[in-house]
Amino acid sequence: MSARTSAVDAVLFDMDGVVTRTASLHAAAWQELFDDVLRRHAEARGEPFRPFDPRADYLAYVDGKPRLDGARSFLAARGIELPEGDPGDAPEALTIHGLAKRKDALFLRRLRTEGADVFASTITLIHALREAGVKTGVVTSSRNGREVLRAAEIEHLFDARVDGEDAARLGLRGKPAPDPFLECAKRLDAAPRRTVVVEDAVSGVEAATRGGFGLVIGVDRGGNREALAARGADLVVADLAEVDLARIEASLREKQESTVAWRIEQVGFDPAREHDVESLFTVGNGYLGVRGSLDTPVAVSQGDLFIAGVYDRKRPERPYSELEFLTLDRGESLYSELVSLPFPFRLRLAVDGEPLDLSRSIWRRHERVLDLARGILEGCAVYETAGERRTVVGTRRLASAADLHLLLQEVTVCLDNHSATVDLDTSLDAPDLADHHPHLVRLPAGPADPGLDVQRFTTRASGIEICLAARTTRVGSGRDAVRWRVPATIGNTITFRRYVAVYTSRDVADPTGAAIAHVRALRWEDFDDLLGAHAARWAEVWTHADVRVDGSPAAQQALRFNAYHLTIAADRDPRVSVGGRALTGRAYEGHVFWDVEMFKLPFYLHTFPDVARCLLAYRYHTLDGARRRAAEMGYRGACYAWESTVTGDDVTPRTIRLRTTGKEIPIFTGTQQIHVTAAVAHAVWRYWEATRDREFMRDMGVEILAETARFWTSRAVRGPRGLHIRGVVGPDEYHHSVDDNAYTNWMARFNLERAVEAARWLAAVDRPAWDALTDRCAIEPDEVEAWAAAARDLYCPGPDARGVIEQFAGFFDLEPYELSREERLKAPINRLFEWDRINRTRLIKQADVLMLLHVFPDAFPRDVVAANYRYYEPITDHGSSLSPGIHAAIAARLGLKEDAERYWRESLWLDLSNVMGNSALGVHPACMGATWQALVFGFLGVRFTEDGPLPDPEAGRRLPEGWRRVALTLAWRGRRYPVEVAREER
Amino acid sequence: MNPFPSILVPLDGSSTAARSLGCATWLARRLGSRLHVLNAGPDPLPAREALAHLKVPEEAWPLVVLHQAPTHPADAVLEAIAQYEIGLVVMTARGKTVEAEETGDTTRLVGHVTHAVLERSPVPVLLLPPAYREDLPWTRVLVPVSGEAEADAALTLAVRLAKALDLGVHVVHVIPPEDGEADLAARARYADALHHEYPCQLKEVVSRALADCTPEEHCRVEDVALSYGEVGTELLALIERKRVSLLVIGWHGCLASGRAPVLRRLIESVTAPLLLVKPAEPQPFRLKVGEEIA
Repeated sequence: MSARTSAVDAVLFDMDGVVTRTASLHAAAWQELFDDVLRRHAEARGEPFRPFDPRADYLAYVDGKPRLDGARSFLAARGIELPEGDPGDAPEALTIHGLAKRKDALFLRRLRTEGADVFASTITLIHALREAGVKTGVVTSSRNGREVLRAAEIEHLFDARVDGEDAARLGLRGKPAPDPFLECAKRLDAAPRRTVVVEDAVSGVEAATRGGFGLVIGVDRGGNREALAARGADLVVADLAEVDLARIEASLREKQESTVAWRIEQVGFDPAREHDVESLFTVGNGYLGVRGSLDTPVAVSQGDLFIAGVYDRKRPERPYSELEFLTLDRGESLYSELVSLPFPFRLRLAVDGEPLDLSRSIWRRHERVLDLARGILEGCAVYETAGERRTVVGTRRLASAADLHLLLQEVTVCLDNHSATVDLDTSLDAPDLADHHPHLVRLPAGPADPGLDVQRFTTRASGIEICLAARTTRVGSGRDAVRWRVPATIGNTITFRRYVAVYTSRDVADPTGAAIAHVRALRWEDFDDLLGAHAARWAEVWTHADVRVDGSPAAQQALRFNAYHLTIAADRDPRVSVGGRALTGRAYEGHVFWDVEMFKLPFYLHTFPDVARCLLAYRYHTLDGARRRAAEMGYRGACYAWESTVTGDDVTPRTIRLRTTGKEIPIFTGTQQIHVTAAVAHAVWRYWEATRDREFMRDMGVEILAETARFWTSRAVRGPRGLHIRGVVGPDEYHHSVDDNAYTNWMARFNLERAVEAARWLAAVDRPAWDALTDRCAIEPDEVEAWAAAARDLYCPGPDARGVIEQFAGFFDLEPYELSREERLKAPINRLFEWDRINRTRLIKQADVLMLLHVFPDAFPRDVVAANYRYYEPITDHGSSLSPGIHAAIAARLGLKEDAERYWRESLWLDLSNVMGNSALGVHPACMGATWQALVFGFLGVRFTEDGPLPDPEAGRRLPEGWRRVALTLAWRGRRYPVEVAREER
Repeated sequence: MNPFPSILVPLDGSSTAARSLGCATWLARRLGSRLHVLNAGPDPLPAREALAHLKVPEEAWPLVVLHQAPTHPADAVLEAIAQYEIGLVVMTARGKTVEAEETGDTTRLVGHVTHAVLERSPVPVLLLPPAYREDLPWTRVLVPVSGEAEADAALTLAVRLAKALDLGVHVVHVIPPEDGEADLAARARYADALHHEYPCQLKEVVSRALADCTPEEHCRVEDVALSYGEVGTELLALIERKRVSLLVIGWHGCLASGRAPVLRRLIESVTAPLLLVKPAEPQPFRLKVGEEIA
């Protein structure tokens, strides 16, 4: 046998009907047996005798099942009840065990007299597989498996065999349970996801599907094709002559890439990882986000519901009221912290009074799957209560993409091997409101309606009212209730469904009325349609947002995960933007930073341009806040806050203080990181270039550009090299109070130039609109020219003799810092404590000059880009999650494949990686945006022309290792363009 | 809930070892635990004689279950842990050997038996350091956290014990200068905005460590502090300043030369007892991403 090189570990064959032709022997034996029983039954009741159909009855009730199950199944179908008997029953006994024994004797008699045929095509395939080093196994429910294989003289063709005898001895459940196949794979030391199952029986296909096998091939010997496919066969063939190893491998790969990469699956349960998983498994729709907590929460669960725009004054830290590491100086803003609301999918479940949850109960299996394709979170837990009673609980939930105020939830409870009373309490009442949701005050729920669960809150300082109204039904009950007690019998599945409507006083004047009316208007018979409408919206999302990667299911999966989170982070509400951790966690308090415009917006711009428009509209609606901020600092125009929420006012703290030592650490970002203002202007222009949205530019864009340009003209000061911008913090936050930060100055000049261009454009194309704007903003007649002059005079550092741009004035003269390899990508917290020392060294936190090169890709020749990368990359410790993506983009453009892939992987798996520490606090949407940009503008080198997006001619040679092809769609000026790059070898 | 229904005190007849009895009997009384006293030696004595020889005060005798084993002391302790389902071992850093050496090898941090028990015990060990000063009842527990599994296990045990004994738990994360690895930094490798990142991160480290605890246990945490400096020095200063009764420390279980420098420093200098905790077995968990599906 040759060494194994295949992607397939093993192929497991069902025996009867796939390898051997004993079905006719079995069918004849069953027929002989059942006809006798049926005849006696009919005679005893004086009914006409209806014989066993060796084709239809055999396939429907008997094929592929253990004998006992086959007998039970067929007799039940004919309404015949026989006692079970026991294994000691004689073949003549009219019991299930007696019949099974008789059937066995009938079959063996026929096997010995008639012999066993084989399918020649199957034997040929088995030989080929073994020749290629692929292991083979045979799995059958028959207790006579050995005898059949021996009769057919093919025993030697299988490395492992699991038959009915093994199943009985090991206590394996029969098909459609996956146990026999899993046992066979175990004996072969084969991973199920790399193992193929070949089956001709529907129950066998189902068993293989449930076992998570990599590929399931259905063999349709006639009339069974649809049923096999419906139960999960990936490939249905009439005969195995249609299949060879190459096709099996291709199908397996295709399936892996098409299915595995659409789901994020968690198996097991570790309370210490729960917060991480909750962030990753958030469901949302831009209006709201719900962390992926367990449906039956445990003590550690933090099932926050966040609603975009619902902020309140900062509350004291809990549960540690004396948390030493305090943030101060937040001011009295009413909107400084995103409000967390109670978990809207909370369930309390008990079986015979025993609560079922993962912390208090014994559980045998637990898994959660985020279905990225449909935006649905599914869960399954198998609990075991006293006496080995198994209860299987399945859940699924979604935040409707088709109806932003609606949540859907379904829970199924199956008593696997016992009967019991099931209690389900669906009350959304949060017992821990004061401790875990300190911004909220509970309001009276109003008139009692036993079928309706209404929870009302108001925020303490900002006075926003929120209402959640929920209805729950048990499918088939025809009624609604909050609490259910249902007697259930063995094997039964009970299904509950819930609608939750969410409204706030930001949406409507009467959120309670709106939530109740909404949830009452929904019919239970429409549940599947509502789910379908949601899934359809997600299907539409993926036609625009999917990046298809051939050759790397792992990268494909991570890219989809990122696109999923960017999609649920924003909707089309111009009053809000995307916070640092979007609606997935409490970190960053929902504050909006520069990363919206510089890191996230390009994704939206070329995927959902209408969302990009709304994000810019948020900046327009908060322009007054920016004006106030400029005025407070003594400047004109508008200076956007480094951290803002719904008003645009600055909510950045000024200092942090350690209580033990009394030491204060100043925060310079709020007052000095003014490049956010130019970032907004840059995004306005980028949107204008990508959409030519005249209405936006006329009504919002020009005003933003004008007011921000005004700010820069007043902020810049005259000096030896023209105008200078002094006392700032650039993207690299390790250096404060610096002058002429190259990135800031270049961005400010771009802002000024585009303001001039926009003003002249508006004056030319819509004079009344320009006049109205100049009136409204008191723009002086010569002011536009002043912006142009400032742009000309503003000192923008350029490359020196080495081609390197100095990050800010005096940077080259700072003390060198020996950055060890270990420190890179692991910025330690002591940067915080040593801020003053670090400020004096040439150690930088994140891409700064390289950010400039990324933003203006055509402004500098390749050798300048390379010189700056060589200079700055070794002194960057990547203390920000935004940094690796930008380094990947630049490295890819330079053809530095190793660096590009290393940084890109770091960025791509930032949240999904198991070693990440801070995803528990929410995912990093800006990093996801940076990753997307690194792929599109770095590896693919896409540039936009009048003809649409064009990838770099070198792109095919830059694709990451293992990628065969990448394809995506980019929106540009009202059209969507397919972009596809196939690997090219040098 | 009593975290230690059975407590084991290994004694060798020395006055040094017998110093553990005060703390152990106090704990057993407060928790309602069974107190097992173990003496390893070739010739077992009658019970009352043995207790007197081991310097167990008579008022503690009603609490005590006496075991005498003819095996090596460390092996006897480990066997007793398994046999009597012991949840906690209470012992002094040094025993008879050091005492017998008079002024002998006082540079040795812990005696051979204690060393072996510390390293091999599957259950927590309450270690009374050489400079131990009995100060009962306990009022305040200090737990250093780092985000690592050992420290998580220590904090979990600390809040459970605090709940049972009505103690306050103080948590501290000490950041050693120029240490890029063994601290929160290894977990918070990015800090987009430092002032947002670290308070949240610190809370999350505590929350993660207490994932299995009840809200009543969780609320024993009175304070969470951040400190900057050499870890041993900072902890010793905090113990003094906060009048800490007990220091609960997670560790990897190896006291060999060059390992556990902070713990060695603490054993050397601290006057409060040290409750040493090893990490629990990780829970089954897989996230099928990246290489898992490649």
